[in-house]
Amino acid sequence: MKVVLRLGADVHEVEIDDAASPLEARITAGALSGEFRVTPLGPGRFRMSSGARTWLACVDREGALRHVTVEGEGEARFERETKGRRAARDAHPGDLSSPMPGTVVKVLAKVGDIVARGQNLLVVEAMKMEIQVSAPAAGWVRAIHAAEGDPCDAGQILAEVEPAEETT
Amino acid sequence: MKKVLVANRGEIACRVLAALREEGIRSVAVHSDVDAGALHVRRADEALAIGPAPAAESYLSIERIVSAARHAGADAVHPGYGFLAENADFARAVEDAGLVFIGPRPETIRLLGDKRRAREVARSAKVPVVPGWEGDASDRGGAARAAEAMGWPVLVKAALGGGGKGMQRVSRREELDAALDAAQRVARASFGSAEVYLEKAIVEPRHVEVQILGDGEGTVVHLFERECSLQRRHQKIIEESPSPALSAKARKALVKAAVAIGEAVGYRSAGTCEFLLDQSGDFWFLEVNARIQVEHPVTELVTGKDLVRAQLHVARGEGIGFEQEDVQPRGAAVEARVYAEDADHGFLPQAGRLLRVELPGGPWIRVDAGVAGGDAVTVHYDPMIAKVIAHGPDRASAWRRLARALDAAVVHGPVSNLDFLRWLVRREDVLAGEFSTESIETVMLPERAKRAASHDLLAVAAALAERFDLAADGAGPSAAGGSGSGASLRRAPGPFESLAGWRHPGLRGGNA
Repeated sequence: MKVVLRLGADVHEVEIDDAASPLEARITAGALSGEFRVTPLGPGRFRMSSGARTWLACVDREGALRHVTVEGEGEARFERETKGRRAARDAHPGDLSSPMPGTVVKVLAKVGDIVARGQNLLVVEAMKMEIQVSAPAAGWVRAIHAAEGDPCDAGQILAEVEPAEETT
Repeated sequence: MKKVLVANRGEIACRVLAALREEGIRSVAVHSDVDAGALHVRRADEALAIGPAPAAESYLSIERIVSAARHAGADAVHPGYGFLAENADFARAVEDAGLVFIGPRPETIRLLGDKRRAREVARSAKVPVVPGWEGDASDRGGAARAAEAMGWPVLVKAALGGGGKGMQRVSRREELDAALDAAQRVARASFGSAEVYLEKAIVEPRHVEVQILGDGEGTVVHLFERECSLQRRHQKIIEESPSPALSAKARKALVKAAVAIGEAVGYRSAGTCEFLLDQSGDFWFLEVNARIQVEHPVTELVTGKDLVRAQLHVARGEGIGFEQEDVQPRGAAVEARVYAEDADHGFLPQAGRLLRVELPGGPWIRVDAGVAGGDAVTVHYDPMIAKVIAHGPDRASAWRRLARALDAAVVHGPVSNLDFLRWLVRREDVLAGEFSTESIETVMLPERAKRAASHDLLAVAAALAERFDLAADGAGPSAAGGSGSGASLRRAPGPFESLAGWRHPGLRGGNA
């Protein structure tokens, strides 16, 4: 599998493939490649080793953010990008994103629909509440990135509206 | 002294609360609305809400704090540092309310708060003062002549300022008038007075300060010096003791000068005399900070003396509690300030919820934290997360221990300066003690901007966490109480916090 991580202007594409044993993977990240083994140590804490080298890692997830500290190697706040999702930094004015982690329970529009500003296009359920996700601009639906039942992260782009030109 | 109100927040409030607990004194915390669940509130025996988030309406409100102290039946007030700590009107108001102010006399605060008068005090104590001019700034001709005589560049400073706030640097005669105008404008807006004075700008100075304690009855002791040259825009980042730049002879003269200044004003409580060391090794008096300071732990670790408890003793009329001969320095200590600041983007303060704050413990490491995992860093107050201080038998081992402690620390949430600190403490020039107050800005930060940092291993860790579902979900520690779930692991209490025997029964009288 590929994990795409954005850090500022840099994009790290990490290839992970399963290795012979569980909790082991073959990894390539930039100039680094090798077989890594993990040992979970507690919430967000694990040891990772490759060959004779060992590191203590700590990872916290916050929406699309991955806060990572590896002892002796420093820290980074990556933004995880996956298929169909763009990092919030790239968001266009017509993008609809989920305000919190949850599940998409209703998709109310399809690609090509003409929509008004404020029109509800999806419903996300989170913490026993239903959140209406609405079109930020009038225009037409260029893409829908989620289906009913899909989980979603905070900030994840769920749909794209191509804004119509405003005439004032 | 049965009950003390701590008129502050964050780590210094926690520090004072720890000393109160050790002394068996009941403590009262005050908090703004947004700090209702803060660490200093949780640590106090009682807590009182004193207003909305903006400091001007809470921690800076003399009226609300004095009224809270009266309401709680406190005998005394400790001001911490910052906020109202050097506000002579506040000290006066506390005393007028019949309470003890745990700090210098109001008149001393007022005297030393005027940096021109502080320079006069130093002169009267035969202490060399940074060459300068304290005439009437409207006499522009006089100011210009004085500046020419001193030699350019000169600094224009606010008389009621301090710490370089509002300071203007002037390199040529042509710029002086505009700089005086600007400095006076800022001074009036920030300090309520447009009074300014001139000082010669010393080239690449080192900032060395001496800790003093006075009993208010004429006895002043010193607790040696701290080197605080690693700073940026007059904000200290790392402090250490002893100073690597002082010879034994210079140290002797420096501490003698500090005591002389303290004796000249009959100093009471804790204070710091700041000096600049020029490139020839001569020192020049800068100002006195009439309060306990952020970097006081460095002195406590090297001398073994508890400065806050000494303040309490003095405030109770019991004297300092020890003599000058009892102050024997051992080894070296160095402190790093961990802030929620983006060191790679102008050190802009950051705000947000701390998902995880794991600060290292272990022998020789002291951590003074004002927040724990799950707490929020807000825009209303300074973004300090914690001070990490290391002690060792010599300078090299203290710095090594600090580096290891910073490596083991984890602060997840808003961007912090932790990676910057980790980088700083490994630099050759820093480890050699070769720097001035200008080094971080003129040498180190430009180098940092050019470095090619690799994050490949960190990306591997993130990817492994995704593949094997190892990440902790930091999405939602509960709000008000600050009591985090899962990822917000708390630091185990250090020795200063866990002296349970000193706590009063029936703790937490609750929020009034």
